[in-house]
Amino acid sequence: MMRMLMVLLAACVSLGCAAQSRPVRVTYVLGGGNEQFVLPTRIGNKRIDLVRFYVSSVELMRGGKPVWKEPGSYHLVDFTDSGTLAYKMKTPEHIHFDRIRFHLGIDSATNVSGAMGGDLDPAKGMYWAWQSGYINFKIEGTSPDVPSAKHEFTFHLGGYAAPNATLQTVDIAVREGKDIVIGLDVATFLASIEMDKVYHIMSPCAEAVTLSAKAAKCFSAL
Amino acid sequence: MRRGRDPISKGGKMFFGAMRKWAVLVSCVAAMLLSMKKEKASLQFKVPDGWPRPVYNLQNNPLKKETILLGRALFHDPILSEDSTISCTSCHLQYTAFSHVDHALSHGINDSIGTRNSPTLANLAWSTTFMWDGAVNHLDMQPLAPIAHPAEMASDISVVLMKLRRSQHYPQLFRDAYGDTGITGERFLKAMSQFMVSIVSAGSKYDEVQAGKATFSEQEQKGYRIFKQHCAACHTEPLFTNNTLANNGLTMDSVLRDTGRMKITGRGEDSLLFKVPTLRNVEYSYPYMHDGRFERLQEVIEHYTTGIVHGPTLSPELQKKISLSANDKVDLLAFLLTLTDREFLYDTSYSFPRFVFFGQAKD
Repeated sequence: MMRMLMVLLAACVSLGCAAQSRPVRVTYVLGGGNEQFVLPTRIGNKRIDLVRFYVSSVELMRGGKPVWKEPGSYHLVDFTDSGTLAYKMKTPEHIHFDRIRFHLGIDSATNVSGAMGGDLDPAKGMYWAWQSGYINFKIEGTSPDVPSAKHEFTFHLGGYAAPNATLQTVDIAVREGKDIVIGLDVATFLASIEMDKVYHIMSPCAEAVTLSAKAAKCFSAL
Repeated sequence: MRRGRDPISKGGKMFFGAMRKWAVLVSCVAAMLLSMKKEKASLQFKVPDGWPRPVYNLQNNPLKKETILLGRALFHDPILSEDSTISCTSCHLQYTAFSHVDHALSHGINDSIGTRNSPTLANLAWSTTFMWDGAVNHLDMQPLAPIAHPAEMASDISVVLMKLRRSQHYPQLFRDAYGDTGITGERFLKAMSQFMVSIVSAGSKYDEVQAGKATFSEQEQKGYRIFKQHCAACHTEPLFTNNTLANNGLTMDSVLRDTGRMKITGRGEDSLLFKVPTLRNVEYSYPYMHDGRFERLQEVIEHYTTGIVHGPTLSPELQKKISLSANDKVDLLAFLLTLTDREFLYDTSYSFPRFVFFGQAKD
């Protein structure tokens, strides 16, 4: 029995399929530290129906330097699809890190490289049809402050080219040795928008850049 | 340092050795099979002599007979539209150089009228931007625009994929193209691209003259000289477009009020900029201009000689008046007709693939 185990172990090592990684799990939750939400939900006088965004180029950092970069790093996080809210990263064993850094959105090179698969598939509802480009961040709902008939707000934030490039970098402190839980403080984000004036963004524009920067600031590790 | 398999007993070594031999044998056979399959599968894209390298990256989407056929089936299939009435070919008919003959503005679903003339399609592997305003940055992404436009197909790619998955024919066509029946946006768009890339027009009289297989008439030769002097800066050979966007001095239509590129960028310097179209098969791609305002080529030549409107964004090439005599105009026209590629217009490899949907005819 012992011999068989040794053989199996040796075979695994030499074929390179040994468990070399101890995956770090990343989970996304909607809400800041105090309160978390499941969509559709109400926050104050607002109703939120949809929150969806891209996370890309994930890096784990230590002492301000990257210690691990996730290969092929593109994740669609969709709070209406629980299957997208947690995944394991293929991190190496004994990795030490104190921060996680990622892009909120899709880089410009990917935006001009044609059809992609997986989370980047244009059929995922995060690609503009009438003008090429990924939507980096989507949030939809209603607010009594919105002066339109149905009081709906629709923020589809994207745009990869200057001067309306919306890609943001998020860099947040995490606790080492624990799985990473990233919260999006959606209440703070929505409170930062004057909904009586801005409630409908569906193309690259200066306002989309401003809101993308605000959204990036609403992420934290819980 | 001890290596991983050092501590193995003799029996283990034998077992492992046998395993390794098998693994090597299996992987060799697999590699052979794969390379054979690859050889059989991928097609070489033929770049016409003297043409630049294609812009479209075929390494990311290697051409395959079955994938081109899938794209061709999709191109001709109204399943792409919301009520299954409008196909790509509705506005891009092969016989009229993949344009919409006699329609200044094309009509889509429910007889909706759009705001622009459907452009001719050819040599798309060399295109850098798409749509009259350059809104689309890659050939792969081009089909998304008409599929979603409320006046064209009024659908959505996710709906189209759902319909394809439920259809009688497409799961098999996707399997032939990709090895399994998975129908994804990426596969759908890449198949469309493969067909569009295969639409190459390089067999006109002009091309034969360039290859030394034919000669221009005296009139065509004169026209070619005029063309090179006044038109070729933007309609650059051999593609007859320089792939830029330019203001070619048209008045703005008071109803459509189309500002072209500015609609996309919001920048004043992009006002009235439209894509420079290819002139290949221009004899058949009427009516002309982004809004189809000119029905005949004579009117187009008239515009460039007497109709240019000088605005702040007018193309530098058109700042100086182009003066052509009546004879020059006729000669220029004679040259433009040498860009007609009849073989292309009637090439059955682009036409509706009836056999895909209805099986092969018996005779």
